Amino acid sequence: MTKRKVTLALGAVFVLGLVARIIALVSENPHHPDEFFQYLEPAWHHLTGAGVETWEWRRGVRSWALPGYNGAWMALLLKLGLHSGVGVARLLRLHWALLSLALVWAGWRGGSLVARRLGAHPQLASEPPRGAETREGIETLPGVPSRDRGWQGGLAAATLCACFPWLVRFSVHTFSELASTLCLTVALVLAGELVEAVPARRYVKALFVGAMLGLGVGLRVQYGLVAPVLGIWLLVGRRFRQLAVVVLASVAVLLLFGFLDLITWKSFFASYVRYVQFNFVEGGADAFFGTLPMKWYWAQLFHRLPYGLAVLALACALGLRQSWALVLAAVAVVGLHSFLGHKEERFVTLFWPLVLIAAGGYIGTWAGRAKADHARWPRSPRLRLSLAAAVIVGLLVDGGLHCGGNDFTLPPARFAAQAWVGRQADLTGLIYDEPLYVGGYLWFGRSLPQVQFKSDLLDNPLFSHVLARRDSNQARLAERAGFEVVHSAGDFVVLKRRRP
Amino acid sequence: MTSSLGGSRSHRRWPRLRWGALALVAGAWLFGLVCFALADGHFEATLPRQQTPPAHVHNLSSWQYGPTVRASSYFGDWGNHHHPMFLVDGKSTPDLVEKWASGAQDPHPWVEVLWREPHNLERVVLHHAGVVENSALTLRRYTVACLTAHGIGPALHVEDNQDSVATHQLACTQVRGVRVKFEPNDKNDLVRVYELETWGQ
Repeated sequence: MTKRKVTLALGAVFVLGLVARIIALVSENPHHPDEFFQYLEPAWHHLTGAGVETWEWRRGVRSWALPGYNGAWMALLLKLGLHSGVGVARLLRLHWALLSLALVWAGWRGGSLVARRLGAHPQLASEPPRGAETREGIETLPGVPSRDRGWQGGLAAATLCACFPWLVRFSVHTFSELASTLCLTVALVLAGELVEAVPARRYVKALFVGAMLGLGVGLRVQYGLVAPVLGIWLLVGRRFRQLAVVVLASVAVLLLFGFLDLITWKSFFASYVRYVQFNFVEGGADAFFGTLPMKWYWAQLFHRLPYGLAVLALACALGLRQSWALVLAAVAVVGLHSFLGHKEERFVTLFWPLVLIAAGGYIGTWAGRAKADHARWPRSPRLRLSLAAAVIVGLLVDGGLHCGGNDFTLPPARFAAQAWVGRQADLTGLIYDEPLYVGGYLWFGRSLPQVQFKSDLLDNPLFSHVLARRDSNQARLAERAGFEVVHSAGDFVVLKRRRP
Repeated sequence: MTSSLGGSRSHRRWPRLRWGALALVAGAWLFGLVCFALADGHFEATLPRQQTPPAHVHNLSSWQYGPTVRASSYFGDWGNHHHPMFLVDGKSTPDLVEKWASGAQDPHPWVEVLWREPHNLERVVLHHAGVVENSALTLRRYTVACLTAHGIGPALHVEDNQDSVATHQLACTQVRGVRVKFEPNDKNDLVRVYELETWGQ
């Protein structure tokens, strides 16, 4: 294997990840109201004056950071003349899907790191490929810089991060979990590189790690447990100065979140304080959304990978000596969330990339084990490589077969019908059956009123259209009030007022 | 030698291109961020015209004539969606939802109704919260002003309104619309108005 071949293979993995995300972009429907109403709709509301304001935003338990980020792109697109809300929403989904390719990069770097660290063990030393030499039991490829050593683990982890179906599905959803996961995964992987680096003076990288850590925690404070894990990793690696830089940089970034709250909510860290008060002091989320048992997340993770989770766990356990920080952070995130009553699967998004990188690093290392030394069956490198590839494919197939469904399911037909109404030139107002399971004013693309169904509203001449389930009582009431069906999408119909 | 030099140039070019592309994306995003930060969040929408206004005195801001409504904000809950367009729906017996209410964080609420053509305004009629809700919610202090082609025109300051349906004589010639600036009765109150009629021809 030459550097060129490794680069080509990595490029192919990136392309694979990109194709998977484009497929997700086309096939994946919105499935959580929050992906619109918490992170997109506030930005659209601020820009156009029209929007649905959720209680979280009225109570001020959300930071403007992520809506501000999305809003900057929205403002740019509006300036460029794109006024279609659906178009803006789709471009933002594409943008997040592309950004999520950072996980492939993190997988490459993280998997390589784990493999390098595992490869230092004499038992796991690689047999040199043709034309290559070995140095201290670590494979050295001709022309491959030291960072690329451990490429087997890098490729395995990158492939898993690129194609793991659940990650691919969630890469097109505009959640804070995704944004935070990208930052924290990159931060952890680069922190591992800081631990490994000789000489240790990597202050620019430490600065970047701190910024990513601060950003990730600021975007999703529930992932804050990653910070102590990262700190312990640097401490154990005796990277004290780098740790100081990381702490300073992350605190500086976190302070920016505080200042943003000061500007928007008139109080330093106001949204975080209110969030903690609501969720942990008042128990508001549990009362509002209900509670699930402690083991729910573990059951859900098992449901997503019923055969493969044991393989992932085994690979993580075997490589734990070198990838413990990644595994500990993943387990800590799920563990913390297990104690919270209100549970949704997306809350533990961060678990997957960390575990996939740790496991991928070990699987790749195993595939590249030396024929000599103490290696047991299989002794043939080709057979070992084939087995490792089969394990990776098996994990992806298992994940693919069980990635369907979700704890929230929004009917895409209602979104299609809402967007259709938004395109009508004679629209003056929309009455819809369900304001929560649509795409808000962004998806509507118009600033005209859209209001939840009440039979009294049918008398209001301002409302030209009604969106309801086919054969529902609401559709019948609308027909009786002088509306007629003009469009249908799946289980939904759009009725239009007959005007003289 | 040539090949080596070419390779070195290409090695220098790629990082430059990469940083250039990154700077371009960051610049575009920063431009968007400035636009986003400068947006004041006001509402504006225009209804499609359903019919041509008559020649005699009529409600110029009726939804049928395709007015433009602007507002500093509105209370846009899922269930209680008090959209500014309710100001011009002309409904005589409105439901509690069918009103404009200002946003919870709006310290200086205002609304504007703009007509498609200039008209001669005679009077402005405001249907306050007292029409449907507790009369204490009816607004006491506000300013009604005509909107001319050059900005704010003749205005009327109301200091102690007690009427649920308040009629204010305000004669303006060839104006584009009206603007009403409200002072909430209490600084934590929302402004609630069910209808804003502008009569003229």
